[in-house]
Amino acid sequence: MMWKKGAKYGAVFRISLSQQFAYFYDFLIRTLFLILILFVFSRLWITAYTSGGTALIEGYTLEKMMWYLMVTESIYMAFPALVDRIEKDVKNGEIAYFLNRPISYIGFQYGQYLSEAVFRVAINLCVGSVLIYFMAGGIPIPNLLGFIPLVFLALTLQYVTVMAVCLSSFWVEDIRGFHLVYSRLLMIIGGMMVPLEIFPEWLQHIARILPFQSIIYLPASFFVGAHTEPLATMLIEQGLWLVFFTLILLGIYRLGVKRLNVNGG
Amino acid sequence: MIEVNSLFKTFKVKQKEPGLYGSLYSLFRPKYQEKEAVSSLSFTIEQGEMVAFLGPNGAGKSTTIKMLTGILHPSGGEARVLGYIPWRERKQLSYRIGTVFGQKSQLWYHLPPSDTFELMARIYELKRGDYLQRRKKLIERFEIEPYLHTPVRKLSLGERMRCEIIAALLHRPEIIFLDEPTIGLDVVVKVKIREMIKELNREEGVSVFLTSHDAGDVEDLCKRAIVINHGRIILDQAVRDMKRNYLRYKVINVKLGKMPNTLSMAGLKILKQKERGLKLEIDTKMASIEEVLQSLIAENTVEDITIEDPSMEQVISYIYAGAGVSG
Repeated sequence: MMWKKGAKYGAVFRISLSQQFAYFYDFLIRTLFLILILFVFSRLWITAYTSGGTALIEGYTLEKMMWYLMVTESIYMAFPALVDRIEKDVKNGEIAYFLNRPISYIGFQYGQYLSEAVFRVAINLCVGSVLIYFMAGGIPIPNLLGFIPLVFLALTLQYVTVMAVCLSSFWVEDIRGFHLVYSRLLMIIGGMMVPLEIFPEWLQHIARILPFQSIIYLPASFFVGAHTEPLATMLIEQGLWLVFFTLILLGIYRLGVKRLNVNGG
Repeated sequence: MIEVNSLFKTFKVKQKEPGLYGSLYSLFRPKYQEKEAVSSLSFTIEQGEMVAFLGPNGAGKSTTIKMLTGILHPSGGEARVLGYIPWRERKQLSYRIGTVFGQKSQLWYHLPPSDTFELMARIYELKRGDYLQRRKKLIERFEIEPYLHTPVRKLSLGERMRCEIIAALLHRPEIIFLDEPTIGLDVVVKVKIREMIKELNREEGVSVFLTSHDAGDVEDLCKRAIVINHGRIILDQAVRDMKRNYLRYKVINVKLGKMPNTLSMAGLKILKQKERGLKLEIDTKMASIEEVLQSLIAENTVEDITIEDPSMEQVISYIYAGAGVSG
């Protein structure tokens, strides 16, 4: 009856997707913000390229850089706000009400997260592409069969790591500090602000062995064709991080539930 | 159906000395105190019974419900619900029980209730045909057809609560745990919901385990009440007896046209008086409400009047004080 179990989470995905349409204005503001951010950063890059009088920065042309930026911003701004939701569930004990239902809390949240993230990333990429096409032109034609799984794994990896941070609120009073550090690392050494190639050699080396680049840099560099590794290697790298963090997440969840079982939250 | 034997639960509560020094000290050497939430609880509930589980805040009601539904592990003792040990066989049990927590919604706020029902059907792995049939029946019984496709946020609290109950009943649970199902509802809706629960119990034999602060819920729905306080059962008796002994008091709030004449009648007690406003308590064993009202109207001009049941807290305090037991 595996398909029935899977169907539960599929149903959570669907219902959550329908709920997205209720947040139309929220979604509109987010999209306007994306346009603003992309516009400002694109102008910065245009200035950097023209004032430096260079056509290439670390192998990136201006167009490539702008398309890279579009993908990183589209992915980063598609992440649903898990922290508030999960912290609330843990702190006021709502997580307990999931324990006597035949559905897993982590799976339920994943279904909901994924629907929001996929919906937003699709819109962000479409809107971003139109904007960058008008500002820079030269649309790269990425291999979608490679790009889609890279984005899917990136979103899933983001869920698993952030969820692990969020569930530490079983023990930690305020997880916002942790989350802030995590999201800043994602921005900087994950490659959201600039491609990893721009960093000094030693920092690049560190960034490449950490998980953050799997979430942002890998899909974006693949989109613009700046990746140095074959697609399969990138997917395996994401997959291994995913397995690693899933094990950590399940461990934290199990300990948290044990604590809940004993202390009542 | 539910068997509980010497069930107890203790929590460790962190203790802290006052002040900055205390905060620092507790950071490095935390001190804990054991707090007994439920102590040696024993009772049995048969199939089809409707039992009220009562007690003031902090009495151990939620802790008990959480243990019976498998969320909390007890510190000792035994419990079996439908033959399962709840905290060990939580998932299996979840397919056969339903829970409605009055202050915790299962419905998706921006979507119509029909979408939540659809999700529930998937979560509980219901067969399509069975689900549709069951849904139709519950929609008819709870009369929610007119707003089945209206987003939950546009529904009134009463309409929402009916939908909550349907969501908890779709998978045909054998026991339903209702935690404050009528909280915040107006009288008409409360009565309607109670009728529906009664009908369900009569027709399907669903057992009901109810906690409520509303004496009306208890009187109307349940044949038996278990009262707990400080984690111990202080009363386990038929509601009929309990009513005779403790729910016989009514509270009348009345606003008179002018300062009242003397009000004295056997079984009538003035709880509070503020100018023309009066709060009276009637012992219905000694004076009927009708008599009191007649005498009030005959001797005064009545501007406003309400009649209330004593709160569950009052009932429990009567039980504690032994009030009404002898007189």
